Amino acid sequence: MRLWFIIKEGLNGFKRAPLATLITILTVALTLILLSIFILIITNLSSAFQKTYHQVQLEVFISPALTTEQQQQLVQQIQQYPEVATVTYISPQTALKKFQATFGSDLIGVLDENPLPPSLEVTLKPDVKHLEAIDRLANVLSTLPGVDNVFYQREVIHFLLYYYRIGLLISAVIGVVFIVITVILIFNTIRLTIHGRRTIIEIMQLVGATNFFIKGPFVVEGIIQGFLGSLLACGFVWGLTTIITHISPITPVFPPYFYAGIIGGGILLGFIGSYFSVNRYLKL
Amino acid sequence: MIELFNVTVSIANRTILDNIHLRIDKGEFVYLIGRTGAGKTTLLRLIHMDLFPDSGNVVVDRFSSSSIKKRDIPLLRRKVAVIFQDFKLLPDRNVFDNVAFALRVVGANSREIKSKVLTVLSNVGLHHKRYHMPHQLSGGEQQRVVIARALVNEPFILLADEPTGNLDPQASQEILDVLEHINRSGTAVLMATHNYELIRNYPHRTLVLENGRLQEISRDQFLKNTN
Repeated sequence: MRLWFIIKEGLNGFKRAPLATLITILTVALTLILLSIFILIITNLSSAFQKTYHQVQLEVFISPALTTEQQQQLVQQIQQYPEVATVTYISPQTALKKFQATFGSDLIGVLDENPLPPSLEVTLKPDVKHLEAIDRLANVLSTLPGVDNVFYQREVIHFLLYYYRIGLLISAVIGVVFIVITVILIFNTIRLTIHGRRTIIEIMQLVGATNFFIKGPFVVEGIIQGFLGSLLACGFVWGLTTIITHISPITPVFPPYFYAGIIGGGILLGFIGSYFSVNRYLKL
Repeated sequence: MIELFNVTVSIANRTILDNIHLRIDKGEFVYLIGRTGAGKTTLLRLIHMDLFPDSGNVVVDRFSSSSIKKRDIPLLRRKVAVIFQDFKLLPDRNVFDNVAFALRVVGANSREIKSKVLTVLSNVGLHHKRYHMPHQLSGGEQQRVVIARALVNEPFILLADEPTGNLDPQASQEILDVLEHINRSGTAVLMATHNYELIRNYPHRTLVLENGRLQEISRDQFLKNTN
């Protein structure tokens, strides 16, 4: 009976103040849309960086005198380093093909023989994002027996990492500001709705309703408003990303549980917003 | 049933109640008179435990202001009803639902709600208007709905803070008749008022609040002072 009353009163709030409810739902939707778009931009920029960064590799030139067995041992040895993701053996013939595919010139025709040494292509794990760690790895690899030289695009890596860190910092600041604005906007909208119905809170207190009973209907209403607002936001973001996929070559990348997170966030904001807003009107 | 021991209350450095003693027994009808700002509402708020004394103690039934827990205040308020001169009705609910609201928020079941609401509406003479909306009622009728809502939880005392303040003489008299009726059925009434003309015809124990002090006056003194 008690729980049913709380739910019924919460649902009745929609009928009693339809305009205020609509404004709250739209505010939740709009702020969550902005937040979602921001999250998507950051996720996709980060994904693009990861793809580019994954192409960064160390080229380990090895002695042509190494036997196949020694080459395999070296590959296994390098594979053991925690920073290393993959190690691929590139034979002189493969290197030549790659060279010709890249530069289009016939090296054999000019030099009569293949000048390219065998090498190992070493890719890094995605979490290796410190230039110092890469330098250290390159130094270690260059001292291994059978290794002639280690080459990597230090300046490119430096550039990528530098802008990645700046991007991360800026997005963190904007993210926090966004979340704070979202929370404040939603809280204030819910608070205004509740302010319009403070008489009912006063009456409930007068007749001896417990705080749980007073808060209940408002919290139910807040949760439903948050849920509906987040559904609207999800619908909008889904439509937007579908259109982008159709009209451009970009395929947006979504963080895991993106839509569940938006809906969960909406419900949570509705719950917290209404809970604390009612508190303001409880004198006890 | 209600006792105030050496109660002092100051608000904004002004002493509103100064070392007050008061006892109200079960089923009594008591007037609390005094000028506007004398502290009548403050005294009622103390009994309703909406306000706590700076010193002294307020004992209402089994609850004491010095030891009551927050979670027990709603329980007290179910037994100490209060009405004001502004009606505080829910404009979007009919008379029945306004009264039933007081029972719904304390978790009563539908059968109990229906039976108690209809009884209490009969007691205040509004049974026939139970489906009317508040705006379809006169001021006096709205106040009677408020009284019904206050009584539906069967309080042992009704605190009435200027209940006729917004009403014409005819409606005021009707409200006092309702309060008399309630009192005769066993509910104590403490009514704060400065409508001396009205209460002249309904003699009861009378307390005067002046300069923060509470004093009981006899009927003769009351008639003499208000002439």
